[in-house]
Amino acid sequence: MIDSSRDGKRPLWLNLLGLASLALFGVGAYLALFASPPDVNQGDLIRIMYAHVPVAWIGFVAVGVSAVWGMLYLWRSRPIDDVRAVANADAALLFSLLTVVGGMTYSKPTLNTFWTWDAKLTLTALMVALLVGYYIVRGLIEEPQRRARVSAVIMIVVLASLPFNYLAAEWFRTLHPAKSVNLDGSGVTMAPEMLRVLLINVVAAGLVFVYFVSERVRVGKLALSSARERSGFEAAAPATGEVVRVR
Amino acid sequence: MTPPAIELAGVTRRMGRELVLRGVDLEVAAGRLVVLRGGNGAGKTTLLRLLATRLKPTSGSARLFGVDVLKEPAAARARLGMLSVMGGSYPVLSARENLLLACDMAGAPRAAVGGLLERVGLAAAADKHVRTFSSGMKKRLGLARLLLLDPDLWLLDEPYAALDDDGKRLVDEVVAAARARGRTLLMASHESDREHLRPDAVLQLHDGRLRLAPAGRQA
Amino acid sequence: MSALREPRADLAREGGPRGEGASRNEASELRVVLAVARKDLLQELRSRAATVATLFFSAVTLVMMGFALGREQAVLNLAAPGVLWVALAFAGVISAAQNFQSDLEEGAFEQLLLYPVPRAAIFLGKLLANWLYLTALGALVAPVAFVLFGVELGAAAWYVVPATLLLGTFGFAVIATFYAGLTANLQAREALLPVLMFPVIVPVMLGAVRATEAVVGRSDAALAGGWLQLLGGFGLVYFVVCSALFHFVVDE
Repeated sequence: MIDSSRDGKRPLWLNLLGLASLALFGVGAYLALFASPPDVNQGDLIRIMYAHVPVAWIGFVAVGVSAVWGMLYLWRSRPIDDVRAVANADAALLFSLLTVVGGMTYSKPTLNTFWTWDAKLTLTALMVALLVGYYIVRGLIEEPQRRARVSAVIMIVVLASLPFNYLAAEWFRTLHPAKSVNLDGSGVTMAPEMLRVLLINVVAAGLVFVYFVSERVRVGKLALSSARERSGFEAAAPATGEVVRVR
Repeated sequence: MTPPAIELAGVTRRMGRELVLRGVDLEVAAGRLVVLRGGNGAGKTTLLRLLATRLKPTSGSARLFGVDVLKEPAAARARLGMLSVMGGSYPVLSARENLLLACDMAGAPRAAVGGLLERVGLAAAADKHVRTFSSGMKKRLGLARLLLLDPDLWLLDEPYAALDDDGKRLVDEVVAAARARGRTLLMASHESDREHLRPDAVLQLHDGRLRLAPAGRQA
Repeated sequence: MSALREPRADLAREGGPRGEGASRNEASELRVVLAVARKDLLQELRSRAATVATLFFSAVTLVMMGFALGREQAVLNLAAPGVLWVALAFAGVISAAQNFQSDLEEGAFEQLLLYPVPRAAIFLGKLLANWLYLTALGALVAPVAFVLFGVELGAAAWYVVPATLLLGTFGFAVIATFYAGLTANLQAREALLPVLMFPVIVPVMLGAVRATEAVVGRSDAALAGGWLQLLGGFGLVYFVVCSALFHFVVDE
């Protein structure tokens, strides 16, 4: 792994992972589009759900993982942890954007409006806004260590905001805080075969996520080492060997 | 043996895209007066802020009196004080209020303030807002704050700039007195040749590296 | 080390001589918090023009919204809590940015960060000042909003509205103080601050608006209580998180 990342070639396991996620994605898509039955109420529209739900879940997972790498960076200041945090932040932004688009696609035919202030969709839209802020700040700080520290902090704040935003969005819809916390979804029961297809799609989306992040980390590592060589900021340290002494 | 007052090993620091310090190795024994020279933008302020724990080194390590500034910045801060170029006072507070704030922040007795204002020649302007001060007066106020803290390590960024002759003599006196009390002083200045200063060493910061200036009188 | 002393230098050490090399007395943290808060409030009071402008800004926002919403009393009643909190939020962002602006002039904040005190104490001091300021602003603006929009307050309003103001402005002040510190030395600070802050304070806005709503034209203290809990929980969690993380954002 270390050797292959040095010369910039994609390691074998990453290629295999890519193939596996592609294959499973194909299987999941086939099952979702053709093999699974249409919904009693929503007919074929339910098929959007197979893509939408896994993508939404992964978006939140990615924020959590990014925040954990951020905390590790704050703890031990290793540049690679920042690379990993950003890789997951990229995935979080991508997946949450897809979630918002998917949710709007879903609600237009079912509820005849693009925007419903649905709790989870609102939550995801807020998360997109928070992540955009994360990237704006990253773009404004040039010094890499401070950039890594500040963006780690922002991601932790984003993570902490999720439960509050969720509660707020949920209560906003129901207009009442008391009868709300219903984290298992909307209480709709799902046929076992539909659930199975959904789970397969969750695993497929998970593999795509892991592949995406691993590839992004690999590229980030390359950028990191080339930046190091260009600025020589680690090579510069021991070069002089001459200590100026004032005794 | 007491640890050196300043110990820098392979210190680099990026500011934006520039590598301002490119490997500074420095050791200064306690009780010395060192003058730091270098052109504008050579990194003198960067080096001082780095020693003051305000900037973290991009790589390398820095110790003050044996205390690692990265690992224990608060302990390092307890040993140092800095006079910044602009004076570092709040413009809408009066000179006295600024010093009282310093007392509260440093846990010093508030009674010392009046005498200090007198010492730096600001007694008449004590209750005027710093906003109305000239830059020389702001410098004097910054000096009063440093006298209040009387830290083990004095970091002075261009202390003579903007001061009148009287003010420059004041800096000379204060520096000499601090030195006599065994304090360590690092001064970024273009005026290392001031008659009475007699630094232990003059360092030249050039191209991100540090060397002893030939003019420096070495102890 | 030399034992030589220049007599006049003793002015600097009236508190008694201190041992060579010993670190100076740790300032009591409460003293630091209060000193920073006092300094910030004093600055706020001294820059009277800015303070008055902020106050009028929220008043003007109320009037503008009143015009925009028309003269239907029912609509105004429904909108009043939301408009009030939007006006407060805008004013709060402006004052938070201003507060750090005056800190940055002449390198005074830099100096403040050089004292051997925990960063969290500085954060708490600034937070306290921000909170008091916003509460005072809210206490002035809320009656104006209620009068302008002809709102009839329910029986429980006399304690629900103050509690909402206190808790709502607290959550707001925590985030505002934190992000103002984070953006202090970035470009485009004034535009950046609301962009970063507003998505985080959505629950605060919602909770405060809904809690206020619960006592407008009715008096549902239980409903208000639920929202106040959200505000309290938000304030508590972010208070802990932001105090712990503040040093990462101010240190360079």
